[in-house]
Amino acid sequence: MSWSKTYSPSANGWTKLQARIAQEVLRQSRELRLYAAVASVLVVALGLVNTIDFGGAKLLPEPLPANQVVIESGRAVEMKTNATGVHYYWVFQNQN
Amino acid sequence: MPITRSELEVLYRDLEIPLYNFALRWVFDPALAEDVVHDAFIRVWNRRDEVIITTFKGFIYKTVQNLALNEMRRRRVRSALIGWFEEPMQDSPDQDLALRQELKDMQKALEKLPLELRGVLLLSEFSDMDYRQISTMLGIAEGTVASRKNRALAQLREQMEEK
Repeated sequence: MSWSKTYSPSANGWTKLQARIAQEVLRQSRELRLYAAVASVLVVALGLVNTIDFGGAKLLPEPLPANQVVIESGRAVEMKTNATGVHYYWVFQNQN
Repeated sequence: MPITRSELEVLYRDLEIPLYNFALRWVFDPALAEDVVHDAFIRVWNRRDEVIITTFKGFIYKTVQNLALNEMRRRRVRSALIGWFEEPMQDSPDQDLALRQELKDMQKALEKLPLELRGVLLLSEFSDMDYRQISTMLGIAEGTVASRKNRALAQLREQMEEK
């Protein structure tokens, strides 16, 4: 017996690896869709709440101009789009 | 820049045989050794943005070794849970008797070596890395790599003579 003898793996190793990578990509995309669905539910839930206090700032769901960060009248507004294409808005409002 | 699928293929084809033989000396099961190598490449693919080609070899050998050690631990726990006896090796049907016997003999010899000696010996034999590269990978001095390899070989020789 030689402990250093070289053995050969199966001949189609790369094909098998490609198949496993494809499975992995599929699994990750399923996970992403699940996270997106959970995020959508959270956004809807947030939309039901008029105002949530976060210490010195407020999170307000309300319609605002898309794709921009607006700072006006002491408010910083950031528009976000989640993976399912739902737009939502973070409004950080100075309580002063 | 993340590595592409074709670059991954080149790396895989280049390292497939030595990595497989390296993994086989940890798990002593051809199918499992192949799975461990594939798992390591899937990790590479998942982290393709972070992979640095110049240090790739050290990274992939370390990943294969860690995955193989995890698999051994899992097997030990499973064996303990199902009845406090050694779980028999899962042989594939096409695995011939000679190969099975060779792997059993190899396992008997290599498993007696302390992990740190076995790691250095196998890296030195299969990875094509020099002492400096192995020392960087393991975070030990080059001299330690050399002395561990010599001790591992001496212990293997002793075992052969005892037979």
